[in-house]
Amino acid sequence: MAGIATREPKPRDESTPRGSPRDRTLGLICFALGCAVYYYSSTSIRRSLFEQLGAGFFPKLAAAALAVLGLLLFISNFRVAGTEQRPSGQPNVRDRLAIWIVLGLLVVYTVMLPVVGFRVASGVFVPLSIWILGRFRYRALLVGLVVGLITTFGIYYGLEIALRVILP
Amino acid sequence: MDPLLGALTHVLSPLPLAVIVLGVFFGLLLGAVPGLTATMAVGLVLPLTFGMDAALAFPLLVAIYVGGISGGLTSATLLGIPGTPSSVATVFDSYSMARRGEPGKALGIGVTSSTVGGLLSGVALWVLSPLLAKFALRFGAFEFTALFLLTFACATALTGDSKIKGLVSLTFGLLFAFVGSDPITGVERFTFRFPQLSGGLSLLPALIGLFTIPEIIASAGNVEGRRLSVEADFRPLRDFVRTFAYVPKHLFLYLRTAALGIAIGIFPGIGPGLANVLCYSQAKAGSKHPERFGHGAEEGIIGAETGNNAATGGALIPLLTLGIPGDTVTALILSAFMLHGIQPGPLLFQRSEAFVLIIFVAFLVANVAMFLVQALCSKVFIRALSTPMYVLGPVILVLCTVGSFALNHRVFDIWVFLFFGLVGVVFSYFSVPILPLLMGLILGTSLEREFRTAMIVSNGSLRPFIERPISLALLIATVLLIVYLNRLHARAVQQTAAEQHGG
Repeated sequence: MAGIATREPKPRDESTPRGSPRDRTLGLICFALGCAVYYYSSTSIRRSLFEQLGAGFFPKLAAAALAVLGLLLFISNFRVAGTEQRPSGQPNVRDRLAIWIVLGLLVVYTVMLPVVGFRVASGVFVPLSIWILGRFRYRALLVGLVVGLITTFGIYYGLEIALRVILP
Repeated sequence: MDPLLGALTHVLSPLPLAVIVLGVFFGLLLGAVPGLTATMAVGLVLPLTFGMDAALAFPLLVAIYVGGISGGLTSATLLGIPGTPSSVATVFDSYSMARRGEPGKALGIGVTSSTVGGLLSGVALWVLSPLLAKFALRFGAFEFTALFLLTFACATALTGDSKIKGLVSLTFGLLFAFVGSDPITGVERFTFRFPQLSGGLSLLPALIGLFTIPEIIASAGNVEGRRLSVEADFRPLRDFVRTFAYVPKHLFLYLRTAALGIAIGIFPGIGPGLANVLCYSQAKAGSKHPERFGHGAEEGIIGAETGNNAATGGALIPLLTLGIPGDTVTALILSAFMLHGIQPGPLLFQRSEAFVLIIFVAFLVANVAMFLVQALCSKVFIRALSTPMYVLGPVILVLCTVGSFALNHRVFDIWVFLFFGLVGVVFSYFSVPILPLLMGLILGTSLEREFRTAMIVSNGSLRPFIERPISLALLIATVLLIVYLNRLHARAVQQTAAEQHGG
């Protein structure tokens, strides 16, 4: 239509690096952490009477650097957000979930170690983890029980008895 | 008795020799499994060395280091997957050669090259270390401060696409290093009323956490393991011995890539991973037939494998002479020095010459043992490739927990291990490199102590840094290295990308 200028959408310049939302988040986290650590270092670390720089100098320097780097990371990724590319060969959701459950179990294992001792805690943790990571198959459970027994008693006799390394 | 003769007698006696062979075997085994690295192998065994005599513990750790770096060759050749980061470039030609129907030859050339590279770097370690140690005796607080800056520059200059992330990582490492009592005044910092933190964060649980938990998460996809077979008439010993014929044929290539690998290893914080890629590039650049690279060229395997193993001896040089780790594995070995109450550095060569010689001899023996173990047990390592991760993961986690606890017999250290595991996972999620954090964590307190001592000595003046020749030279080297390493890294990345797309 004459007289009416149609505005074509501007093609995106592929050579322009796009900002990564993940790096932007990292930038913000670093900035916030840097400020918090700087504040803590300024208020909570005692000053020395006989030394000019004092115990707080390096922590303050590092905290300030972290805040500045966070800000730089945030600014350098402030352009149009690109989509994050997942690297190939990543585990699927089920395996990923399984490994996080096992890491959760590791926390429980750490809490239980001083209470029930190494042999009981490991004797339960290893088979259970193998079973979970092995997708709850009977074979995985069987393998888990065998490996659990070998690992627990192997470490117990090998370290505590033979090498005299104290176990939890 | 002559110290050298004493070291030879000690290392070649039955128990240390058995320990070295076992260490090499364990390193090769873990290095062969994709996802498990030499760093993890050393980290897992380190706690077991608490109760050992240092003259037995360090040969073991050195042997695991040598085996772990070479172990990646097996999966690189047979699966096309680098078992460790130090065999990335090995894949390009060894996998092509194996697919062409010559896996025995590919493995043989790789093993022979690893052995030659390792032995040459052992000689360099022997010759260069005492010279550097003697020179380092002239270092004072100013020189050490400049040296730490040089180390940090090396570690962050090679951190991939984002230098800012490298610096972020270094800063986190420094902040973690400042936890505990201040090295000059004794004032407590960041302890949050935890008495366990007043002595600082325990280094070993932190390192174990940083390396093992992210690696286990990353290899969670390998649930089933991988089944593979090599040709029926594969006889490792025969095939490997035959490949020694390539040594005189490509002697200049061996020497060139070994020299480059050693030089890369000496730079603090770089290590065998980059040596593998750069030596491969070097082999290709100097070849009369560069078009064969990526399609099973023997020179490609020779360059990559000679380079990464040559870097192992190189990485031990700054560790022993200056107390600065050359790479992640030597960072763990440094913590072993601390556990055994030994201070690596120039004075080590004066006070414990016999001990240093034991390490030298053990390194050379480990490289010979590596060839023999590979030749005799290759089929075991090939079978190890099919070990499913769901079995290995929990066992490794238990070993790490035990290792973290065994240091001070404190459950608190297990929490340190878990905390740093989480840090490693977060860093991996945001693609932040771990190495600068490691350098900051290990050297942060030393940097602070030396800099503040320098400031006390000079009444707060920075002028001595440029007035003292060694300090000035180190500062200039820092600037030049940043420029040079950036270029080097860009070229290596380009080369790797080109090879991966091409082949």
